[in-house]
Amino acid sequence: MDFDAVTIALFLAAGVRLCLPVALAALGEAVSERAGVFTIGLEGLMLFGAVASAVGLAMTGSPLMALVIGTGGGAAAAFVLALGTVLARANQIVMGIGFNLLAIGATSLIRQLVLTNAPPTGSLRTVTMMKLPWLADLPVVGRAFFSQSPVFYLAVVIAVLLWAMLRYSRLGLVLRAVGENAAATDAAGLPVLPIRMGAAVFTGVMAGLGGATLCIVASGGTFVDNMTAGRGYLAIAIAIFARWKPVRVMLVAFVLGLLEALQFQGQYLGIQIATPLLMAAPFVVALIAWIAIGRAGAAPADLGRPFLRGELR
Amino acid sequence: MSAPIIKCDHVSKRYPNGFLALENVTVDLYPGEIHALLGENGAGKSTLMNILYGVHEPTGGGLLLNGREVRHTRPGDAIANGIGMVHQHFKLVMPFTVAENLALVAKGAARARLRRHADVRTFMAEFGIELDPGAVLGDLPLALQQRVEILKALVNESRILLLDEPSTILAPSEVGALYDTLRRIRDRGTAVAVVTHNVDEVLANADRYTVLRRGRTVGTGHIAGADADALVELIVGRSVATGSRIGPYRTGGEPRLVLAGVSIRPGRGSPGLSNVDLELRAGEVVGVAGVEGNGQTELFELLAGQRLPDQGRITLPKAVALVPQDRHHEGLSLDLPVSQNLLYSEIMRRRYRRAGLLDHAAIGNRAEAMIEAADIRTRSHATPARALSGGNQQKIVLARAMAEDAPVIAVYQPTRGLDVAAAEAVLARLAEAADRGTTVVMISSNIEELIRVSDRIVVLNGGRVTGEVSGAGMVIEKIGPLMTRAVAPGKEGVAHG
Repeated sequence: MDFDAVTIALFLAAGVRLCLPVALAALGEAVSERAGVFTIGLEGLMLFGAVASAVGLAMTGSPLMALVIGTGGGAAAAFVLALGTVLARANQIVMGIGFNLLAIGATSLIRQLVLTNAPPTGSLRTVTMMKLPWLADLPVVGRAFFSQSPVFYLAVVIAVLLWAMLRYSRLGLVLRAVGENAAATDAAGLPVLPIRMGAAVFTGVMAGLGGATLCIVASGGTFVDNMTAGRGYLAIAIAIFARWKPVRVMLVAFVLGLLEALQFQGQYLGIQIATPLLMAAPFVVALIAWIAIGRAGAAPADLGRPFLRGELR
Repeated sequence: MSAPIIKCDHVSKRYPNGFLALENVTVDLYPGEIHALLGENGAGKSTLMNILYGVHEPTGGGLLLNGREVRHTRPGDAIANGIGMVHQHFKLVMPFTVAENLALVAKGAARARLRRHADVRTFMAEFGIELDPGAVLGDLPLALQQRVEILKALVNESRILLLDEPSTILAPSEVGALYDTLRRIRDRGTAVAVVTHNVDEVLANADRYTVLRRGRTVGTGHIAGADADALVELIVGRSVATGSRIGPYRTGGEPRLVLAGVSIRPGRGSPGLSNVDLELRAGEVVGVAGVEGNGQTELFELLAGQRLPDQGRITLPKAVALVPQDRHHEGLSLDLPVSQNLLYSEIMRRRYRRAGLLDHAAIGNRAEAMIEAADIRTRSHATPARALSGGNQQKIVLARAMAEDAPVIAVYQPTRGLDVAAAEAVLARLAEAADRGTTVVMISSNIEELIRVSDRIVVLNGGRVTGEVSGAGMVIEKIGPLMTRAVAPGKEGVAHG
């Protein structure tokens, strides 16, 4: 096999494109898990984000507005989910799975009721491609990383900001403390439940943006039933596998994106692996991540444990 | 002395389950004093602390801060009013560093004051504490974690510092250093309130004391001129109206269960066990007395085979029948019928099977016989255990343990929550078992019933056996000091009647 620069650049670029929705959701999941909230409902949040963005596109005709509305849809759905998992202390796993099942039906219903017309045929160019001046002209990496959707640049900025927030800011300290020892944080007079609510809604923002990106940037603005197809679960696995570190989340997601890209570009690269195997690859990696959590010493100690003051520990 | 900085003014607390934990308790805390709150378990000390700190709200009376009435509905209110609390179970984030744990609680000006590690060092030095601000909490020994817990309570310029049983997790040699720190804090004008059950510790270190018993204040005063014996009597009460002795005093036969130099590391707000020697013999009731949380749980877990000693040797017989402290979680499956609860340690035996399946007729017959013998009041053997009263539930656990015919039976707080008649029945069954040659170990915080049924009593205090009394020597005047006073190793009190 012989690789030329263009093939490799296109392969890398495809990896970035494919990982973007998952990476965004995984960043959100990392934050909520750091705060002790296991957002199993991530898949559903992405779906709500996707359908909201499709509705937004139909209503406004603006892809940018569609992304904003999709993000808002994810946040609103996350707020409702968090009312159950955080405030009402419902079992986070059961509630999350139920929420995901609900999301499949609810988003399909919204599609049938609202999205009856064909999607607007206007240009989505503004959100699919933004060449960064100078950087885009670099060989290989220019085409791979600097001729991407503006959402990708936003994701990188968010990842770096989250890293700095978690590591250096007071908000990050408090957020991590809530996830490690909610009772201690409460005893320090800090508001455990509002912080967890905030983290859960932020996860909705990121999952909503991820779903909107999937719909608007990656799928030409068309919402298809259950179009996330397990990406939410994959994002959860990525967050865990990356040890809840935002920059690592981006890297792990990118590697999985490359695995997915092999499905489409493997033949150009001369790799002969059965497509079904390639399609399964990201999920196999996710399975390994799930096994890894079993011996994850670094997992937030209060992850998945609802907080109730005065509860014996 | 000046005016009290905070006053618990005729405070009462009735929990939602109806338990009256505090009744009309008044305690004053003055700036610049170390005030000891003494009492046994269940005396209400921790409840009082939690009311001051806003974890619980009083159901009667209130708090006066500098003479003004205040309400603490959550810890944030108490912190805002200058109260810091050192919990028995540390409220520390173990994966965080010392500096991060302090930063977490720091507010406003204090936050700015602790920005850099050098600032944190300076802050700690004010209290004579030297620690690496970058050290991860989980890597520090318990005594140092406790210092961080204290510092945390002081970060926001607290004027009142509450400590819940700070000495229980410490080795005797570490207690002095703790009070050195507390004296420095006191000398800055802070009111320091310490919950403890150790009289000698109080006499050596406190300025004033208040004794609580069964939710009431039974004494308060200055340490200067206070007398150890009088304090002990205030804590455990006079030896009045102890019920009559159940059965004669027995002398044990051959040894059945031996602990030799057994130690368990301290942790989770418990002192563990240190260097415990114990020999349990056939046909005797050995009582284990002590204020709760002095190593009893570890001892029971050792007897149950649920854990191994960190040091020393334990020789267990083939089987030990168990009556655990928490019958709802460890003793019963509440939703299973009485019959299965009675038989689940022997239900796999052949006689309860027919053609490889459970023989419910045989199980039912056996259960009926046990229900009859143990006088368990239930509608039928098929009734779920949940439907029975606490006393009858405990009879199930006890009957099952007895039926195992194990050489040793270990019971932990066997009469807790039972009414008088049910408690009497439990004690009588234990005495009968010993008469038949069984070794009975009874861990209880109820001294009176220990005296009535035991042949000898060993006392656990701070994870060590501080003494043993037997026969007519088992009187509250001898047991009380062993429970509540520091006893130097090697000078254990022994009394025989």
